Amino acid sequence: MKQLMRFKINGETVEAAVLPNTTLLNFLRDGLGITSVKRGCDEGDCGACTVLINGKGAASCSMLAAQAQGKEIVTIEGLSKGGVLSPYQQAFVDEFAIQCGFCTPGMVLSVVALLDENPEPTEEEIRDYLRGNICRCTGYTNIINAVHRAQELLKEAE
Amino acid sequence: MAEYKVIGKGFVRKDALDKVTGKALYAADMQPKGLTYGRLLGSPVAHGIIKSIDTSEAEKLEGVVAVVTGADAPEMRTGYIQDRHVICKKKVRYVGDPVAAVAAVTPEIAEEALDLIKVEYDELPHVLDPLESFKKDCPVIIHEDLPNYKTKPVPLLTYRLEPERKNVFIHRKIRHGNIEEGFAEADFVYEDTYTMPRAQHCPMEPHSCVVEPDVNGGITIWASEQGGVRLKYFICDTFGLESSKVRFITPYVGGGFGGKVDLMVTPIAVMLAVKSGRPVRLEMSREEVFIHGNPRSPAIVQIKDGYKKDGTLVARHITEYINGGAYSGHVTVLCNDGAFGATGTYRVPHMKLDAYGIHTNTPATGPYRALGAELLDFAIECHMDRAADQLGIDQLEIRKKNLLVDGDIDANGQVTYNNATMAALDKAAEYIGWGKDMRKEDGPWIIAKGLACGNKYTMSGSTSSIIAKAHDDGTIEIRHYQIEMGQGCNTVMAQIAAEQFGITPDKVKIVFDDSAFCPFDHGTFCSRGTFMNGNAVIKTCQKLKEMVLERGAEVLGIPADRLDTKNGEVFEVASPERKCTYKQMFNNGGWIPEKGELIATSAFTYEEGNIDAETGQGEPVAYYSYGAIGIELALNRDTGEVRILKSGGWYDAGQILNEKTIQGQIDGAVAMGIGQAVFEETLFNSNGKVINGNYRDYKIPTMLDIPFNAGIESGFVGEPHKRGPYGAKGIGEVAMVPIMPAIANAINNAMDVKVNDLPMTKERVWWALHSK
Repeated sequence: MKQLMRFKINGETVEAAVLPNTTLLNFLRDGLGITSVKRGCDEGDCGACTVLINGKGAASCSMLAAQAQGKEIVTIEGLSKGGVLSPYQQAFVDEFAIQCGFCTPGMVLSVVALLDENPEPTEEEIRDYLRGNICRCTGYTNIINAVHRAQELLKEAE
Repeated sequence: MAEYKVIGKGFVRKDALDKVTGKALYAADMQPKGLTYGRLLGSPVAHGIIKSIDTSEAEKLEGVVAVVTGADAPEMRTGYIQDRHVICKKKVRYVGDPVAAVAAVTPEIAEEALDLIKVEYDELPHVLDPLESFKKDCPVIIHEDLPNYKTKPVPLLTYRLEPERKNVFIHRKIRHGNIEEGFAEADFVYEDTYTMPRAQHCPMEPHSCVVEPDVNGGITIWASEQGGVRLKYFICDTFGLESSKVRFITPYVGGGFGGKVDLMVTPIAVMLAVKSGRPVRLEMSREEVFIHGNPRSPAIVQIKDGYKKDGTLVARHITEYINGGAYSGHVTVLCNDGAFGATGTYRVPHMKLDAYGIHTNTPATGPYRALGAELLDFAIECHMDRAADQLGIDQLEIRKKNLLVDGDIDANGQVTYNNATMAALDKAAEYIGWGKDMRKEDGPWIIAKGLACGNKYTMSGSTSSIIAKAHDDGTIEIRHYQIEMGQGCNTVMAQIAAEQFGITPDKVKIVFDDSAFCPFDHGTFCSRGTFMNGNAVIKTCQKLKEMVLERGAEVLGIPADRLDTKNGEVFEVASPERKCTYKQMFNNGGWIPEKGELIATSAFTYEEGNIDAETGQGEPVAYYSYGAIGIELALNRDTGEVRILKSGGWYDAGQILNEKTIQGQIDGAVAMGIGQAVFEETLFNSNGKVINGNYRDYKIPTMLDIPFNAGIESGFVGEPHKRGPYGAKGIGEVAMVPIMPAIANAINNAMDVKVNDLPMTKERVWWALHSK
């Protein structure tokens, strides 16, 4: 039976009736129509479904919606404000760190979490932190560049 | 090279904002009202007869809206060789071969319904090994009716069966020069066999579709595919639908790499939607992508080369066995056209090539970012190194001695032109410091280098069409059906139109991949997209420009032949102050009396090629792109681990259209090639079941598996191609072709015992190191 659950998604409170066995990914995509959260493998291996939960990256395919109750969930829609891209997003645009785009929302969110934890990562640290986000198009070079570019833009914004 | 305002420059991607904000929609993101969820039921046996199928329990389950089986499937089969029913009717031919599908109001109910379908099989003996299947006395025949199947005509392709070999569905031949004479001239003959495995494209987006029926007998299809609107016509033919009633939409595609050239789930979703009258989404699971995702056709390539003492190649005899799996799909074309991989790089006065497409009881295979060229290129590039070593000639020198240069006749009998492989190879060799410190040791690590060349053709015989419209605000709209799957076609098409109209690419609007608005294209594969669509954009823009200038002439009262356009204005060339804006050419509302709107359409059709069916001689190739890569890597003698340290690739892709997007494609190909070279292979158990269909058991490169950015270099050589749009050729596939053999060659340069098989996994390398 469905249960009434309450979430905070991109700063807004959402109440919804959800089956207890629904994954967070299915709830966001099919329940709320937040299709920026991508289904790449449904097994927690590829990172395309990454969302931020209380600021940390999490694979939304591998947790239940019920587990995210009462927590702050951020999807890519939560990053840009008033139609202006966040520095993280702008960095991906500037550095051509986007090709097919399917990994992009999850990848950008992981970069948010990375730079929050470690504002000045080395290339080695970037590679280690983002190893759970697979990209099959870019070969990662421009994504590394985008992380460095995001660092610059964040500094400029300060 | 010519000076351009827009061409070549790294303009921001047209799709960047959609994709970085999460607004970009992919097929599975479509959510029509009343959406239902489809699931497939696959055969548990590799080969068998369907004895009975009972769906009654599944149909009774609450929430199930449709169950379909082979009985519901059209009689017409699909494929170039029409060998496959949309759902199996009598026989199953691989583990996973669809026998039924369900649509239900939730994915969970659909899954539950699958368990309620009862199927009984009479199991038949199966054959998984292509060489067993190739044998004249192979007891297993996978398609008894193969000789009677209908075929679809494909330009320059000859359907040739081998009557004594029942599982061979195509045999491609090249006969160039006289192979016996060639070997008679040789001082040294060397023969070996190389293999490439069933690798997976692993596009981040699984193959998926949404199909919505309407009340007037029409359907709308959103599909993740790269075959383009051509696939709409496959659907219409298969189901007997009027083309005007099918709206085919390919939204953004989350990677293709060849794996989405054929439709997998879409025709089954059409059956479910038509039967239930409700929209249905059919999305492959990741494991299903590993099974039915049209992975690379594995190949076994035998090469026998004859050389003069000085390393001059005089004869080459190639026999290629391609495992097409249970259905021929695109492998007919792959077997035929992939042979150009053996003709585009080296001067071979006498060549004999036989390539066979072979059925086995494994899932159907297909193209993988080079449509078969990579299979032969891998074998040839490895073989050149072995031959050089035996002859005591440097591996770089043997290549340079035998590379085709402009004016040479290649093994198709075609004259070579715009071929800058030599310059690419020199750059690659220089980058890795070829000739010095060729093998160093550092603790357990052996540092070694390898080189390889590569080419990728596009075939003759296809069409791309474009619709272009001038807006009253000076924007030029380009409608096309090239698939935007990450390569950046929307961006370069906008750049071409912008160059034509003297505007910036942000003043070009791209409308793409919806058959309701966009014209015909043959599909985005075989490096044809930029070449074919780019030419079509130029041609259509020129036609539209004539219309614009004609209208400008009416408004300005100056003859059109004295006018030109740029920056959204039409002006007199001799006195540019006499001008009007596009706004002034239209009435308010964007219309022109009597004319209506300014819309042009045209097509670029390349059908100049020809080929002799028996010898392969003719002029079959529209163009080749070329490349060469140098690799430096470290190999751990204790563990067999390989780490790529440096990769430097140079390419002849003609005129570069966008220096940033092309760079991105090359970097991506390097990572993908590393995965192919050292990790990736689909594994089966003896019953024919895929046993590593997930990212833990089938590893693809993460950020940790490729060189640091400082270790990846690339660049361009060559001249604009005489037929390309602004001289451009394709890059997506040729970027990938030489990387696998270059890595293999570096690995083999580190070891005494040679490995001829990909992937060169830790285990395989360790055994080679310890097999003395």
